[in-house]
Parts: sequence; C-alpha cells; structure tokens
Amino acid sequence: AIQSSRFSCVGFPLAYIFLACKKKSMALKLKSSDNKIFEVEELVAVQSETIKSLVEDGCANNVIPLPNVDSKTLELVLDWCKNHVDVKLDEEKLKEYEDKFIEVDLAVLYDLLMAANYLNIKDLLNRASQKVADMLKGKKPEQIRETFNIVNDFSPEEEEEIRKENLWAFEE
Amino acid sequence: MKPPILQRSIPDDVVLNILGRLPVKSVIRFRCVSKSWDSSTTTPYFISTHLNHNNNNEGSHDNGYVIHMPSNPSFWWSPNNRPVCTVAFDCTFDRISEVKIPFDFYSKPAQLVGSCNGLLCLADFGSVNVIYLWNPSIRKFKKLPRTCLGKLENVTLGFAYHSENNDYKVVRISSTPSSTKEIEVYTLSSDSWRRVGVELTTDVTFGYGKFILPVPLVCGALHWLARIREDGRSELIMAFDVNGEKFSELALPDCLIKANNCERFLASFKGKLAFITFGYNEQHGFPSQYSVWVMKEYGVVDSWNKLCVVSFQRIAYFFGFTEYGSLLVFYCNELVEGPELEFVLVDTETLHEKEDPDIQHPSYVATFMESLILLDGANVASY
Repeated sequence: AIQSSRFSCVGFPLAYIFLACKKKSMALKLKSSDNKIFEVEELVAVQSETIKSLVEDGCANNVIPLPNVDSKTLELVLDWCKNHVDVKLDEEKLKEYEDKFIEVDLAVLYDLLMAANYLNIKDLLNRASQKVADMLKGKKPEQIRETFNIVNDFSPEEEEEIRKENLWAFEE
Repeated sequence: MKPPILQRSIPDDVVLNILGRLPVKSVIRFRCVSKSWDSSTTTPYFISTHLNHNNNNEGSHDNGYVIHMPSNPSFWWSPNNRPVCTVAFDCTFDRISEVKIPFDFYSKPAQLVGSCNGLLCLADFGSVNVIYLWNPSIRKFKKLPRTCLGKLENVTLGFAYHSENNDYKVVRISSTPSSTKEIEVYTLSSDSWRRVGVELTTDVTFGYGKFILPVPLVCGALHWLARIREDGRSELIMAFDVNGEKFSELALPDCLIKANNCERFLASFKGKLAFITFGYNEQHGFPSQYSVWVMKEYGVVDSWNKLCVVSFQRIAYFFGFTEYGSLLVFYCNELVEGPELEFVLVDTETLHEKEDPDIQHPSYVATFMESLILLDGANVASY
C-alpha cells in the first residue's frame, strides 16, 4: 500500500519526464540498400510517412531496412528532414536551404524523387517534382522520350494530328 | 551513344505530379511524347490537379493576373469585330501578352461575362444571343448551344466555377414581359441548358445600370445587385448559390440600402464580396468619390466594412475593380480635336495612384490565369 501511494504521488511527473526523454533521445536505425546504418532521431525520421507508420505499428525497434534507397541518397534525404523538423524555422532561410539543396543534376534528382516517393515525404517529393518540371518545361517531346526512356507508341499520322491541332505549342 | 539519363522507370503518379507542375504550353507539347502521356494529361483529374498546382504557386496575393478587353466596339480596331484582349499583372497592369479573340462577334456590343480558372465566358448580345467559353492559354473555345427559353427581355448572365462538381456553369436570368423571372443554367459537363424553377420571395429587377461588371463569384455564389420593384429605390444583393441553384438575399450596408445618385457595383476582392459606390461630392473640391465596402464575414450584414474612400479632383469614370484591389477609372478631357481619355489605376490599399497605366480603353477586366480547362471537353474548337 505504501509503495503504491508513493507511486501515485509522483506518477504524473515521472511519466511526463519519461515521455519527454523518450521523445527527445529515441533514435531509429535505418539501413540503406548498400547496408549502411544511419542512426537518426525519431522526430527527424518520422517526416517519412512510411517510417512513421512503422513506428506507430511498433515495427521500428530494430534496424529498419530501406532496400530502395542507397546511402548517398539517404544521407541527402535525412539532411532535408533534419532541416524540416523545426516548422518555426525562418521561412526565408528554409527557402534558401531548399533552393541550394535541390540544385543537383537530373540523376541525383531522380534518386531523390524515387526516395521521397518511397519514403512518402510530401514536401521533398513536391519540391523535387517542381525542380524536374522546371528542367523539362522547355524541352521537345523527343528529348523527353530520351530523358525518360519512353518509347513513342504513336503512329506518325497520330503524332502529326496532335501537333497540327496545337501548332502554337511547338513554336519556340 | 548517350544512355537515357533515367534508366529506371518512374511510377505513374510521380510522373503526373511532375507534369502537373508544367506550364500549359509544355503540357500540350508533351501530349505527343506517348499515348499514355496524352491520355493521362487530358483527364479531368489531371486538369484539376494542374489547376491546383497553379493556384498554389501563382495565387499569392501580389502577383495575380488580369485579362482586359475593350468594352466599346469602336475601340476594337479590327475589321472582323474581334477585339484584342490583354493579359497583365493585376497590381500594376503592366502588359504580359496580347490575345486575339478567335471568333467573330455578329453584333455589338460583346460582353466579358466572367472568368474562372483561366476559362473566359463571352457573350454577344445582339439579334442572336451567342455565348462562348474560351481558354486563351490552350487556344480552345466552344460556342454554347442555344438556350432553351429563347429570347426574353433584360437578360443578365453570370459565369461560375462549380467546385463541388469540378464543373462550370453559366447562369442566365431573364424576364418575361410580365416581369416573371426565368432562370436557366448551362453546365459544361453536360454541354446543355436547363431551366431552373426558382421562386423569388422578393420581386426585384436584376441587371440594370449603364456599365456591367463581371458578376462576382464569392463563396460559391454569384451576386447581383437588385432593386426591389415595390418601392423602386431599395436595393439588395441577390446571391445565387451555384451548387444548390437557389437564391438568397444579402443586405447592403445600412446607410446604403436606399439607392441615391451613386452608381453602385459589386465585385470580388481577395475572395470577399465588395460593394463599390461612386458619387459626386462637389463641396470639398473632389468632384468624384469612390467608396469600397467589403463584407468581411460572408453573409453577416454587420460585417460590412468601409475599406477605403478614393477621391478624385476631376470627374472620374469607373470601369473596373480587381481581385487584388486595383480600382480603374478614366478622366475625359474635352479637347478641340475631340475627347481624350486619361486612365488612372488606384491601389486601394496604399491609395497610390498610377498615372497612365498600360491600358488604352475603357474595358472589361477579369482575373486570369493559365489553365488546361476545356482540354477534355466535347465540341471544342482549336485554333
């Protein structure tokens, strides 16, 4: 009886401290496709909806394997997440960071896009998609096919019909 | 040989997320990349996704666009009655581009009925009533079928985006000789008109006044100033709910219910309903005075708030008020060789007056943006 009354007396603050500590120091281990382990704070990692649901389902106690993301890309993605933990961050500074972050070549951008999609990180996915769109907007259809490895399945007549209907869109 | 940069394929939804962020010209051009790109960029879903991206990126309050079209046919300068429209920045009216209307107007005058999401509605009010929907940024238009009720008097039109159905509606109000109101609604998705049985609790007259502004769409309703027929002087606002297709009444600010010598207009200002009055006030050396009222909380009459009063030292004629608060007027200088018009753009927030903005004629002014609306439509003409 003594034990239990003592416990109830301090129960609330104890639990509170315990929760706060847990929240702060809880680290997750992520394993990239090339078997590198990244130790990150939970708050950083759960910006990925995919990881968040693993944590919520209690499946994040051991190493979380991410077979679709290599270590180079994962490092970039985690850097993005670290810089987006504090939502009250200076908007201008954040924009500056994002602009610099996304200034990469198409191959890296592609890896980021695929990782953001797999990990389900909305803001990164949108920023990367916008960057790809900006890089593509002036290109010709032929260049798009080459870039994305797309086979032209139109017959010459069919393609000509679309072009003829929208001649203005093909002018420089 | 250079290998493709992206060896692995990208999931379809990621591709669509990218395509949805492209300018319309690129989207149209990329239709011929492959069959799947063509079919996925012409679906209603893609068109509205693209619209949302555009709205998020460009819809911030200081860089909206407007389109304007001379309201008087003698300013069209075109042998075939095809007025030239100008796309400009809302805040400055600096010109971005010019677009020619791709169809003939058979009679004068033509009217810019409204503009929603880059889709414009124009009407030709002459011996025949012709209404067009036109998206200048993808160069497509369609002529609406004839209305089901034929020719009635005092026709007034409104154009609205029906957000619940991702559809567009043209609302036509007319009167029979006995002044019974007839309301018809055209919906783009069905490409047809239908009569709407509406019982008005108050007997009112719609759509009077010398100059017609596009009927403002605010909070899902089109708004007309209307005069109560019984006393002939009291005015109120008739709001037509685009989704429910019913009218409701909104009161004007208390001090302005009775029509006086003021000219009165409704407009949309940053998504809120605005009421503009223009009156003469000769005593104070400012012959023209405009007051702009804004209904801060939609539907709450007590929330009418006087936003600003703009005074002019000469008689200034009003012709436009934009979403971002640009008030457009012109002075008419009587010169020996004839009247000369002088235009002024007033920023209603700073009250800064911009002399000689890039606009040469009294015009219809409406908000504008690039969009793909009409790309998926039936009976649409390309040019």
